[in-house]
Amino acid sequence: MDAVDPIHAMPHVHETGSDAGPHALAVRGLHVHYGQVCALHNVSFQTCCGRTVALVGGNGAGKSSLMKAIVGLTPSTAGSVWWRGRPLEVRTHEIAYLPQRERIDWNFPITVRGLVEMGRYAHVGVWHKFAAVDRAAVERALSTMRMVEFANRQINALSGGQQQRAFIARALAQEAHVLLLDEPYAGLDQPSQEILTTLLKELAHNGSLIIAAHHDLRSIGGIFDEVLMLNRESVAFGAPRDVMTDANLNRAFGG
Amino acid sequence: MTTTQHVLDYAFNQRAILAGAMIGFLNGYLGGYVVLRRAALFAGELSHTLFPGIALGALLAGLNPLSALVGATVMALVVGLGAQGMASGSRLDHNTTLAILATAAFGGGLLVLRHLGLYVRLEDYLFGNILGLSDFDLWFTFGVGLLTMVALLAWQRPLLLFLFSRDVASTQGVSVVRMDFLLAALLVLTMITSLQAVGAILTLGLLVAPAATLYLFLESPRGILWGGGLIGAVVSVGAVFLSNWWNVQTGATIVLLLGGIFVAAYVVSPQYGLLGQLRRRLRPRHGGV
Repeated sequence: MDAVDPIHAMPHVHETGSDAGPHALAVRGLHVHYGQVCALHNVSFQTCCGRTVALVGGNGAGKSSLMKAIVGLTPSTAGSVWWRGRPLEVRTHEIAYLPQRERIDWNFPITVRGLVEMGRYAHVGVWHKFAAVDRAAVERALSTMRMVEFANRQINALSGGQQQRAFIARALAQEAHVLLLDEPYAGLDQPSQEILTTLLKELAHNGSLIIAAHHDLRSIGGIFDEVLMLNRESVAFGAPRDVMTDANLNRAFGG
Repeated sequence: MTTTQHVLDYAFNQRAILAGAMIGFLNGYLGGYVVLRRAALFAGELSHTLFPGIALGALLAGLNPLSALVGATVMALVVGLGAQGMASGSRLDHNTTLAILATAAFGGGLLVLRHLGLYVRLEDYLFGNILGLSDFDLWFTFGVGLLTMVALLAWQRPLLLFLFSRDVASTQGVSVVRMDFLLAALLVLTMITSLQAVGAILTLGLLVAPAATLYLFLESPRGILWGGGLIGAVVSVGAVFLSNWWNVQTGATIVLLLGGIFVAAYVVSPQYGLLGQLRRRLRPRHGGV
């Protein structure tokens, strides 16, 4: 079980302006295999809190595998993930993963507030009382994601964009620094996409690291600071303008 | 009033009422987890392994609650894990292998029971006999019920997280394998205590119906758990009285009542029921995003 880290019991956790600089996340030489099938081959990149990073690539390029390996859901066969200057060996509440829509049972009898409260599990564990500090974290997360007015709705009675925001609020209540989002824009209409973009940028501005699998190549520049292009191995990593070249796109998607 | 008093005059009825309250509550509460896990089919197959397990226990160590418990647990593990093992890495799916192994075990149990000369009690095992409970049976039920409730309450948070999403639970440090086994173990325990009251065939209804009824109304897992327990207990106790007055089998009365309540709930539930669906179909929908 995760112990409660005294630093993160404080109301705000993302110390972008501290002496140590923003927290860094580094992936070094990561390999992931499912049986004989290679899902990721020697992937490396480094980024830090305060950024928004898009993972792009075709189907089976390893976007989900990379996120699952970072969060520890899928074991890596080689390589390592470094978080805040140390190899990530145990699970930490500082990194949250939001599964794809299809992986969620939307009929589950839970309200938005109940969902966000679940994010506090890393802090209250099996035994601890759900205290005022936990309730405050839940309310703060709801208001950051502008979900207060929907807090008592069942999660299936939300629009797709609201559902994404509810899950992000859960990650915020968890006091995660890194948010791994699997296709957060999938199925959202234009207004919902715009709200989500505003909120993701706001989160990054306040010190979160957003990493999202993304399939709409045209909208990348407007949302993300950095792009990791994958084709089982990393094709390119950097600012969208530098990465989204014809040559790279051909390597990632062509043939 | 006099008829109520008449029922309460008999010690076996008093025991049946106590047992009904305990077993009804336990099943209704645990059933919440089964419904949320969408594991009713799994629970059904598991319940089929109880009866051959008891026969196995009786064959090896004579018929008593302990041999029944050990036999049923062993059988549930052998069939459950065997089915899982056969299905993994083969083209067969888990439901297929479980169905075959569970029914084969059931057949074996029938033969063993006849071999042991216990065939006359077959109906009790399959359909329950809540009026035939001894004081020891009551204490056994109480002990198992207490153990199960303590475990469920202690691990409620990780269990609910696990039921909601295995991925999310796993990233928050919940061992999903451990939760899977915990639920299966508590299911076996609860079903064994229920066997005497409602039998191997009917126990599934008592387990699933109360929570499924509330699932049509509530958006709170805890409400479904506690409410399920309450419905299970009230209906079971009520069924003891009704079956006395009508002179019919109690186990069958319990699951029939629960089935009726569930169907009524399915019709009237404003959100997820039949009338609600019809009303929404007749009214043009708002364009939801």
